[in-house]
Amino acid sequence: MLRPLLLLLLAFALSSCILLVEEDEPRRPVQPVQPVTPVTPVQPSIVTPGPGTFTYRCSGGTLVVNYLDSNNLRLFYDGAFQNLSLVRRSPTLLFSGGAGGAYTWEWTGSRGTLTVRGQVVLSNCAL
Amino acid sequence: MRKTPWLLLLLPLVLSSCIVVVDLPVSNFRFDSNWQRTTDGAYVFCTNQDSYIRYSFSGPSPDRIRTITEIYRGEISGRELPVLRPKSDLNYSGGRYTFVGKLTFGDTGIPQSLQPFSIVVVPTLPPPVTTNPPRAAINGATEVTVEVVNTAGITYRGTYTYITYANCP
Repeated sequence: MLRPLLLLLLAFALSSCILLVEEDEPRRPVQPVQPVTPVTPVQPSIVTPGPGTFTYRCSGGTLVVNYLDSNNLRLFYDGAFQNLSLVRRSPTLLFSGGAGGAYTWEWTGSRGTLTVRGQVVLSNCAL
Repeated sequence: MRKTPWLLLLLPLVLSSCIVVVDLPVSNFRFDSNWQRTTDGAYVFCTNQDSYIRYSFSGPSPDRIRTITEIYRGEISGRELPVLRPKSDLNYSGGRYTFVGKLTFGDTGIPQSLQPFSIVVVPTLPPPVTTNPPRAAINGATEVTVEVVNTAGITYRGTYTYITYANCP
């Protein structure tokens, strides 16, 4: 009486059983790790437009700048040519010089400013 | 003795077939602008303000003019810009041509857009000395040459050099 009942239960239990068999993945050989030097973020360098002569349009008027090489330029202001030399490369290019060392030309990469004796005379200069 | 009457007879015949056209010369070029320097009266351009060029010259009627060319030469930049000017852009009155144009400055050139109204000269250069705004300063010079070629192929030229300024008041 009990035996058929057990057999019936066994059949019922086995029908709801899912057997999962996992296979071991083949192990890959571990590569030796090289020590890595931390990378310092590099600021993009500002490029001077040149060499050559360019006319900037600024708030205040136009300005003709002749880039002689990457370190020297010549601009025309106050009725005379002013020779300026590069004094700084970052964060903006800064040229200084001219008569009495009174002139500075700062170039951000897209905009320029001319200062004479500490006063901004031409700003927002663009090509 | 016998040849003379024949020659006299031939001469009117020859002259009657000859048409002599004498073109009036192009002359008396004049240049000015709407900015004038008070110290010497020179006409100048202001690169931070509206600047107008005006030139005029005497010449024959438009049908005797072949071309008019303006040549703008930046004395500092070394750039040269020739502009072929249509005759219709000039006003012709009393044997005199007049052109007025608005200037734009910079590497994109100095194209003129016709502004056919008389310009008002502003004699305020150099400005009064003030401490705050930057003073007007010479930042270049533009040489303007007007070349007029008549139908006979003769070229006439007029030239004026405009000093250019930054920070005009």
